[in-house]
Amino acid sequence: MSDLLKNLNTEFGKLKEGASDGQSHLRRCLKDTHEFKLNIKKLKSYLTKQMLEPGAGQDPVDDKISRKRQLAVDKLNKLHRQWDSGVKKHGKNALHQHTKFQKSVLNKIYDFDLDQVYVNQLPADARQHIEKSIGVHISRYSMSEIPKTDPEAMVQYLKEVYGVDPQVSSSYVEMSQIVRQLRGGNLEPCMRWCTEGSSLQFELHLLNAMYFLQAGDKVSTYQYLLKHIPSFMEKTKKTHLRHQVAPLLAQLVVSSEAKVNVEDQRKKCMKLFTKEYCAQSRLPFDSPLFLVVLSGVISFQFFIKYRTLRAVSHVDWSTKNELPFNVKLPEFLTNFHPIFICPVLKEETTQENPPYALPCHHIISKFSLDKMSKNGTCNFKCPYCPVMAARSKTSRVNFVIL
Amino acid sequence: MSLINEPSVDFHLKLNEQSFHIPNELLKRNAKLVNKLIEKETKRVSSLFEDVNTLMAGHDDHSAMTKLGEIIKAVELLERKLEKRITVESELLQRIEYRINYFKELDSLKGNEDKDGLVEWYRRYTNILVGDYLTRNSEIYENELTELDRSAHTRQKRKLSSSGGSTPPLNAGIQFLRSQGLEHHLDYDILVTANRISKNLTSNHDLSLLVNWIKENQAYLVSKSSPLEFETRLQEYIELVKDQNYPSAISCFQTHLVKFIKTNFEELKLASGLLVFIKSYQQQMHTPVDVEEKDVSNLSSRSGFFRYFFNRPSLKPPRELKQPTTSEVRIKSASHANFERYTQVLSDERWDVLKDLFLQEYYSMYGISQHEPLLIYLSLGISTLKTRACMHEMETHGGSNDSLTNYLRGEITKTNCPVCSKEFSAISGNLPYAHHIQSSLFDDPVMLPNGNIYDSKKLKQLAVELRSKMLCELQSDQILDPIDQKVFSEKDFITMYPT
Repeated sequence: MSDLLKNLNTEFGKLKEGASDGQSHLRRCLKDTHEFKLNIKKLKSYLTKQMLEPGAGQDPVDDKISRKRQLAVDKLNKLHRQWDSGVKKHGKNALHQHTKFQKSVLNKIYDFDLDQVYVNQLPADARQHIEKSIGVHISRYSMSEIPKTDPEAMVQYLKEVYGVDPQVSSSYVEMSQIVRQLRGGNLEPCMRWCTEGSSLQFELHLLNAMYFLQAGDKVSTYQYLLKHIPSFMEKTKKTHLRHQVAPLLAQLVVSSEAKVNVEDQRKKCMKLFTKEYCAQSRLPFDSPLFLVVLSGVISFQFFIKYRTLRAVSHVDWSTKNELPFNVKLPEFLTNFHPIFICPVLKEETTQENPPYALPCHHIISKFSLDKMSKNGTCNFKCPYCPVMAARSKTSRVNFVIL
Repeated sequence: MSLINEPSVDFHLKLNEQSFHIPNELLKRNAKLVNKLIEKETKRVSSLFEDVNTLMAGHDDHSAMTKLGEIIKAVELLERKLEKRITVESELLQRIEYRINYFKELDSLKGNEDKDGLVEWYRRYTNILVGDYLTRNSEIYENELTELDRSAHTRQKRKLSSSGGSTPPLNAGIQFLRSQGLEHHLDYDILVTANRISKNLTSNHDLSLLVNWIKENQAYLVSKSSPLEFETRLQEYIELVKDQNYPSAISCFQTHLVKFIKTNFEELKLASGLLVFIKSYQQQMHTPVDVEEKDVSNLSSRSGFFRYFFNRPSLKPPRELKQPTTSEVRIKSASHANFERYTQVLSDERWDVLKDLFLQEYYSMYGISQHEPLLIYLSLGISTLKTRACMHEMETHGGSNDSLTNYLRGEITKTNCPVCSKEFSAISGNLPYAHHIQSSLFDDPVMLPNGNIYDSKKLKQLAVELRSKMLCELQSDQILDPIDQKVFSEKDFITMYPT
């Protein structure tokens, strides 16, 4: 476990432990107060009883009675003093423990303010667009969890509560309905939706068999598999899938229900289904908002590091239109567009400075081409191989990612 | 260890310091309240005990017993109040626990190299940010406002968190977080209060909630020597002047503003001048104003003010007027300067300034960032993703075959780049590009005679697909360029060597 998390965890453990078995300072305060109340009540009734006794108050110098009275009063005052100092002490301790928590834990995880890296601020009119992207995000991931099931009501609900454009949300209605059913254990709608012989269908069959197994009905599991898998295998080209049936059948024999992880299989089905659904409906699998936020999380530390470096060297944030550092993103956040770095200029090619192919099939940017050919006036050697090139023999190229 | 180049758990904790800082801050406040309560009650009980002792010494047993009864009642009351504080305490501790567990989960996902789980974790992370954004910005419902009004008086600010969702229409952010089971991950009560107070300023032009908040947090504001109280009271005064309620304006000035005479002398001068300014203008201008114009006496807006005092019948350019005498010009320009100064004070924009000032103080009191975290993440994320090719839609040339064009546009040349999505391309324009140090292209780059460079495998695959979908007639060695829909032979492929 990371150091800070460990520290946070143990320190909080101390805080929490005290609170759980009625030992928190505030609870002790309450307990003391409660006992104090009961004791005064007792003493009060004792005193009242004494007063009602024959002869009470008649003879103030009666030693026995007045001694008893004095005793009760003393006890009363003693209780009061104890309680008074006790609750005050507990109250102070309660405050003290949170101050201590602040010092020993929170100050350690405080390193920077989020605002410090918000250098390139979004334009003032950004909000309406951000709200739209939130609409897409909610429709994509959370629509199956809203308290409405009827398609129109779902769209209406999202519009009323989150202001989601009905046009956006309606393209996710069918998907969220099927996901909701899947989550609830009803495979029927998804089974109807999927294409014959797809891996989704196979996983659904597997999931269904697992349900039977989970219920402890081995015969039905066996019968189900027997009924569906062979016919599925006829339809599919994905013969490798058959290997997954064996472990399930093996479990039928060994019979350890605990090992069947239905939840994982259900998640697998839901993921596979949403993937296929989005691909078919030409929707991006992940919402743009999520991808941008994730890139933001990944790049955050670079921004912080850069800010710290700048602060040390007393230089302002660079105003260039490019970030001053490289952030390595995972594969699913890259490759949306081709990126070509001109090997001569070490700069990315742009609309103004597009890539050009040399006769030797090497590629450089227009600016370096102009420079090396002295604006087309002379021949030059390719920076990568010994072939000579003339400006007239080069051609503009265009990278396209499919 | 990093699965998708994500930061360490430690860094995540630093990134989310707020979500531990705020509940601890609330815990401290809670403990302080308890101390105050104990202070007050013990004092009261002590004095009652003194009474009992004297009464007992004087053998006035009956009154002593009544006093004792009073003590019991006071202690019972304290008991109940303590119970409330304890509920608050355990709810806050629970919040911290939920959050620690959330990061523990991150730790174990990273430890188990569970990439899918990690992406799922970040989806929840995004949802918390969305919830935060919605909570801060969503409309506040009328009944929520009235409820706060009530609770502000009874000093029960934390109603929302303790009552289990019994208040019907909720802020969209809270509703979203609840539906995701993430309500413990955001201190939404704090954000909702900020939202209510600021919305009450900007849309209702009502200071009462802000004034209450200032009273409750006077000590903090004074220790920071914040201008908030002064600005608020000044606004109160200005509004009274706008209403032409001069007696109240003057009494507001005397009770609340005069004490700032040392720190804000200039503004006070202007404020007192305002009274004279308005009254003198009224006297000067009133006589020539026709009755209809007087009805427009909407002093609450800058334009209304202008119309009321200056913008009467003739607004002809000065050239058409008779040449004014120099003295007239001087008077006019002097009054114009005053006009500028005073209308600034009277402007509605002051409400926005006041709101910003309030939010600044409020957020810094709890250690919350001034900007919405979602906006910060988006700004960083867009820049990290933005390439030079972003937001330049590929120019495709549709042929005569519509179904082919549709297929190509919909499935082949379309990009899933988040920056190029409709929503983000609109706001990404001015943000910097990502910095790349390496080309990122594809395997087997081949150039077609038209200069387009593709992944040769993908191009062949596309040809197979088009043939099987009967979208395009192609010979077995032919491929189609999806950009200009021209057909080429595989023999035309020129292998390229980009570096």
